Amino acid sequence: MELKGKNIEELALLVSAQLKSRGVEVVAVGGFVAAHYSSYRYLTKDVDFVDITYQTKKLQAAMAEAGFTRRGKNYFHPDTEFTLEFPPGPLSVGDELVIKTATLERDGVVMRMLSASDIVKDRLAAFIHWRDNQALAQAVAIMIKQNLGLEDFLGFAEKEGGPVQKNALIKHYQDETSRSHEK
Amino acid sequence: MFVLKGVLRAESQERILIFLLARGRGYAKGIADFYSASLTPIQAQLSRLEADGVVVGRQVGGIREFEINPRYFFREELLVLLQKALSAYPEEVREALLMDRRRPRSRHKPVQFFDKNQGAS
Repeated sequence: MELKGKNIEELALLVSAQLKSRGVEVVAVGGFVAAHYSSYRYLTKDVDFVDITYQTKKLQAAMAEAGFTRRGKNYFHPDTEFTLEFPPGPLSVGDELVIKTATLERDGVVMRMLSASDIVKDRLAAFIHWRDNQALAQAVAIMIKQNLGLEDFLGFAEKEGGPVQKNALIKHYQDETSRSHEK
Repeated sequence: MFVLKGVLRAESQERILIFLLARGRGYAKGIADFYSASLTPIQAQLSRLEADGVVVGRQVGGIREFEINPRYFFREELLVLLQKALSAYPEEVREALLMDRRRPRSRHKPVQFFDKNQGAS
């Protein structure tokens, strides 16, 4: 697989297509998808895919065929600085299974990924469980960029965390929206 | 003791999960020492459980501390299963798992042992 000079989105599309051609269907999740929906306000150097066909052996063979080597949980390729990881399924956010996914299409190549709404929930879950404030900032940035309503996520934040986390979300959202109005 | 034999793939896996259920957190040597077990299978199963997203580890000082992954999709169901398995353990093992001291102890405070026949010494 020719990866020299490819940006992270092109790499993700190529890998997704390569895996699909070998019978492995993947959905992009995590920081890369968050970066995409925030118009790359937050940068990442790795792509996470969930294998929704649970074909571990086929996946490993296809990645090796494409020139990737595995070290620990990550896959590396000599022609790119970006790395890939395949967190275990099922495809879910919080305790909700993800049924509907979004797609990204470039030059006829189609890749499945979490929807904007689901990646916000994914980032909120990271904030709640790992106390990762950057994940909260990412969630709010995506909500604003994608015109998603705050009220759609308050129930999730309370269920996954509690009132403290819900209030932190409200405060960060209000701070960010008033800051963007000042500009 | 392997209560969930037939469900889990190794006894060391059950030991890890039951320990983490009871104590909340644990590290490989602490878990192995508790069960007087070899360290290697505990380390190997912790790695597998972490790769499968069942547990998560973080570096605390010089040790890697694990807990059951709060984002694991089957967490609630797993906890119910583990609770039931723990209830089938002998009482002395359950007590040893659950009755560990968690509150802080000041650095120079002498340890007092209590003999139920003679009082504190």
